[in-house]
Amino acid sequence: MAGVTRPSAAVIRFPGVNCEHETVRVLDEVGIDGHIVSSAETGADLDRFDAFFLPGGFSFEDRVRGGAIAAREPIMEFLSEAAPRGVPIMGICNGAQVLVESGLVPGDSSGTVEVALARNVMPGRSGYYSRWVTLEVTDAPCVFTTGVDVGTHVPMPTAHGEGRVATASTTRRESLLSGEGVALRYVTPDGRRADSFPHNPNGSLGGVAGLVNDAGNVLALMPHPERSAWLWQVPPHLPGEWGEARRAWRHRDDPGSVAVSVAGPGRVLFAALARYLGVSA
Amino acid sequence: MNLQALVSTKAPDPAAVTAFGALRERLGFTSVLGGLGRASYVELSTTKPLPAGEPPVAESLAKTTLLANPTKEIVRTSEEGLDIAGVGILVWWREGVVDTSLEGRIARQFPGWPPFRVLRATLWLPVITAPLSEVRSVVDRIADAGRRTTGLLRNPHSQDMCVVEDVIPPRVLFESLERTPAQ
Repeated sequence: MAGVTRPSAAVIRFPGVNCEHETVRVLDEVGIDGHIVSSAETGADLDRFDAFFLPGGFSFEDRVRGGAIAAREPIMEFLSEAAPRGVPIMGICNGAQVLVESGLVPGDSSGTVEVALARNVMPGRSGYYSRWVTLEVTDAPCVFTTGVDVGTHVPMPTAHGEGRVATASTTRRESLLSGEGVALRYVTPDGRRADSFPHNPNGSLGGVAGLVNDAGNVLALMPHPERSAWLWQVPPHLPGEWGEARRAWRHRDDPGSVAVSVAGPGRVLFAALARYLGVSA
Repeated sequence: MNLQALVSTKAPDPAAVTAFGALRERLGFTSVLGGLGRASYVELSTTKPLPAGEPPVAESLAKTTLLANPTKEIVRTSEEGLDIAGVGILVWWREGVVDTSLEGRIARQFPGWPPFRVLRATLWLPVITAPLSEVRSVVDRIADAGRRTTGLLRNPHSQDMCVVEDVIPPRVLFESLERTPAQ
C-alpha cells in the first residue's frame, strides 16, 4: 500500500548458506521486506533492520562443526549487542547452529556456550537425515510464536546431521527438560512429546526443536518453517489436518494462481513476527 | 588386535585452513599459533583372531578405499603408536565416536573377519609458537569453545578431547572411553 512503511528484516548470507531466498520470500508474503545481506556487512549498515534471520545451509561448509566458524564472524558481535535490546533474531537449521555456537541461545548474554547441537543419534543409522516432523508450540515467551495457541501443531521438514540438543550442564539439562527456554518441541502424531526416533529425528534432549532466549526474542530452530510456508509444500501423504488440507486442495478445481498462495503451517512463525512488528493482517 | 590409522589430505586440509584463519583473525591467536593441520584418526579393535593365513589387517585395508581415498588422501597405520610431530588434539563426538558405518563396510568387504569396533576422532595439529612452558595453555585455549570469544575446536557440551604429544598411544580412544563412557 502506498505511503505505508513495511518493517524490514535482514537475512544474513554466510558463505555456504542456501535457504536465504526462500526465507526472504516468506517474509515478503507476511508483510516484511526481506533483504539478503552479506555476513561481511558492518554494524552501521545493519541498524536499519527490524529483525534478523540466519538461514539454513552449510555456512563455511560446516567446517569444524555446524555453525562454529560463522559464530565467530564479526557480524555476530553486532547480533550479540542487538539481542539484549530485544531485536528479533531467528536462526533456522544452520542458523540455529550459529546462534547456539555463539551463545545467544539459550541466552546467557555473556556469550557462554551453554548447549550444543550435536550429531544426530538415530537407531541403526548415522549422519544427515531429512523428514517431515511435527512441532508443538509451547507457552515459553517467544516473539515468533506470540499469538499462536499453545499446543498448536506445526508440521515442517527437518534436514540436518547435527541438530541434537545436548548439554553437559546438569542445571541446563534440568531446565530444558522442564520446558524452560523451549519454544517448540517435537511431538508424536497423537501429541505426546517425542523422545525417540523417528518423530524426534535426532535424539534431541526433551524433544527440543526450538530454543529461545529468556527474553523471547532470539529463536534457534532446527526444522525449516520456510519450507512449509505454503500449502503446496506440504506432502499429500502427511497425516493430520495439514495433510488433509493438502489432499483436498490437490483435488480442487482451483486456478493455480490462487492456490499457490495458500498458507502452509510454517508461515505461522513469520506471521507472528509480522504482528509483533506492527503489520496488520 | 588393534590398529591405528591416520588419514590426511594430500592438499592443504580446507577445514584446517578455515579453522586456522578463525583462530588467528577472529579469536586473536596471532602470535602463539603458527599453523594448524588436521587429520582423521581411526582406531580399529577386535578381541578375536583373524582366520589362519589371513594377511595383516593393515595390509588388507591398504588395498581398499575403506580408510582413505588414495587419489586425494594419505593413510598411515600402526599397531604400536603413531608418530606425530609435536602436539596433537584429538576431538571426538561424545555420542558419535563409534563409526558404525565403517564397521559395516569392513564386515561386508571382509566377511571372514571377526567383528571390529571402530572409533573415530579428528586430530588437530597446531604449530604452537609460544614458549614451551605455555604450549599446554595455548592448546587448551584454542580447543575450548565454551565461549564464542575464546576457542574453537571442541564444544564441551557434545565433544570430548585429549592432548597427545609426539606419539598417539595405541588405544587412546578406547581407553578414554573406558574412563569416560559415551552417554
